[in-house]
Amino acid sequence: MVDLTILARLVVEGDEQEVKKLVEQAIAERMAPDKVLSEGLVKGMDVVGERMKKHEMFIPEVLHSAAVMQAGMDLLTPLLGTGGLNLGPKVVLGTVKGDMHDIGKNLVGMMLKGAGFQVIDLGIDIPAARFVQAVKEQKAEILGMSALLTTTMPEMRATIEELTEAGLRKKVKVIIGGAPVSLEFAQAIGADGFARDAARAVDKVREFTQ
Amino acid sequence: MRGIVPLKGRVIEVLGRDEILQIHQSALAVLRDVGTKIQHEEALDIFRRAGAEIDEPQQIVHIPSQLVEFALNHAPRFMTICGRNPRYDLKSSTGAVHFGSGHAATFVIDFDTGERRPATKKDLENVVRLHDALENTHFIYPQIYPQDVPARALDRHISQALLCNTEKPVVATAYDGKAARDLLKMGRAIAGSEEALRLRPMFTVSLGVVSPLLFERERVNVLLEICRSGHPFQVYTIPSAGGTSPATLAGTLVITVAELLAGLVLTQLVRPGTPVRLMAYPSIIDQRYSCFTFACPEKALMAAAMAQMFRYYGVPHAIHGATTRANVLDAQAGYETGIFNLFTALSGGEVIIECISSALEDTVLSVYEQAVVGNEICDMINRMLRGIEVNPQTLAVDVIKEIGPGGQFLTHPHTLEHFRLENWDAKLSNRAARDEWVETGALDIRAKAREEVKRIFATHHPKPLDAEVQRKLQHIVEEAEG
Repeated sequence: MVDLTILARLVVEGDEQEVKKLVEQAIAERMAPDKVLSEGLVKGMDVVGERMKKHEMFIPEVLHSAAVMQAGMDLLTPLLGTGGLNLGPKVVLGTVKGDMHDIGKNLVGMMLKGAGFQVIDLGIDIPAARFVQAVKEQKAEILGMSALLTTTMPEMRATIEELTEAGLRKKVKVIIGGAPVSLEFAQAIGADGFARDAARAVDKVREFTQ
Repeated sequence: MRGIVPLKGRVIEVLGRDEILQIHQSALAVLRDVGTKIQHEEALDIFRRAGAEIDEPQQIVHIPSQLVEFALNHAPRFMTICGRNPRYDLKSSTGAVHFGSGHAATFVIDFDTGERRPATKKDLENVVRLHDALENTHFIYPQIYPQDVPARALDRHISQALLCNTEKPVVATAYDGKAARDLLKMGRAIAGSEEALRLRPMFTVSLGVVSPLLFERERVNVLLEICRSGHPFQVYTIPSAGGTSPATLAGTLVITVAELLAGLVLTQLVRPGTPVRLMAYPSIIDQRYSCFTFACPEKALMAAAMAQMFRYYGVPHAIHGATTRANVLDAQAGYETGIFNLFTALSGGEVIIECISSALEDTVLSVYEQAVVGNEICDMINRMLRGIEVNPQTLAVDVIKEIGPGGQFLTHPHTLEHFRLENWDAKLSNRAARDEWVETGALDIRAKAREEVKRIFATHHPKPLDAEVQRKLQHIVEEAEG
């Protein structure tokens, strides 16, 4: 019987080979894919997230673990739709219009996938209308917006206003982030939440989708 | 109000000659083989007609080394930064080091209430006035980005606040083509005419490259407007090792050099002979705290390296001085500002921004006292840059002969004659022994700096622009607000 706590540890350690071996073994043993995902892979990324929050793990190491977790998850996704694997709520991400910076946003996306969420990353320079369209089409529960430039932050307010106009505001939780962004700004523009880093972003998304 | 040549030209060198050449060759290879992405149709056309290969849909320009050579041959070696008042002009031909203010704080500690709050335009005006008074601030950047003005006119508000509150040279802001035209209008209003502005450009403005190797459309519009008007220009970049450039410092230098040379080529193709300042602020991603930081030894090393690269190319330039990641004005704020500024100044970069800065929290928070401390630090640094004067008078052999073994020099006229020039006179740093220090209030540097801020605001009033000119500027700002 595959020990899922060992699988979790291997994700933390970033051992891709062993992670894939154990996941294949678990599949062969007909272990429930949901269980393998949540108690093995996601559990491992939870530990990574905690260490990241305490600054005990460096970002490149975090990214490596996330990639290893994804490799394990890729082995499970063929079981999607067979009633064996349920993916988490949908999160739409993007960097706002006029802003080309995406490293932080990408990190958030990877950590959210590591936590079992479905991530639709629109990319950079995304106008309000496209955010709204994506939230609508994907029936996303969460919208995450990122900005690095103080000059592009007003786009976040504009997007929230367009969500309201489209009658979608109450259907989605809006979280914002980025170096110049703050909790005060989030409150001022009517966002639902703010996260300082990718690990805290996962916490926030979990809080909103519990 | 003069910069000082570090140690008569003996600067810190972090790179050997061979290493400079390797970085240069690598940058040329990147420009040629990797290319830069220029999101601007007209600029692409300018490159195309100059002989660069363009990868069409991706907007990638492959810049051959001949174009780099052309640019370096046409760009002026030296640049004078003008202030509204000519006595503040800075000539870059002297080899002297000049100190600039900080940039981009969005929060302040309210001077009266001690509350940490979003920065306002009034805060920016105040800190510009402060920098106008600080004798070692040679030129002034947008130290604060006001949070209480409409975003679409932020650049005009910043430019107005700078131009109205100091006679020293300023770096203004323009984020798109229209803003660039408005800025030129402001400049002409102040100078009196287009010709007068061209003769004495009292501001500069920059294009910021998005690392790695990306030039955004609106910023290129600024470049076109400003260069075509005959005004000097600036190109800056802030690559972050391990984020937007390789994790290795040398690789980050390659990206920095490639990006700035690409910008330089475009300016010289648009208008050969445009004075251009290349500004390099490479730093790192703090991989523990998952953020960009300027407060690190790596940044100081790369600043010194870029000073060498710029001297190799022979171009007007700027490097980055010091920020502190301390969240309060404590010992960390002191040592980070001191160490990074000293190292950078000794590297001989002709213009060093974020040297005398009110910023804590790695540029985010503006606290007036910190600028005063920075001024004190740079005052001390200036004395070190001045070095040791060695000549028959200072060698003083005849004086030593006079005094002889076992004598004393205190009463000799030679001491009276020389001590003031030889010894740095600390303005704020404590020199008193404990008992006297207690008697005079037991003030630490923070308290002393605070008193100095109060004194400056009570007594220092920069020469205002004529009321008519101020009205014109206000009109330009209001029009932009729409």
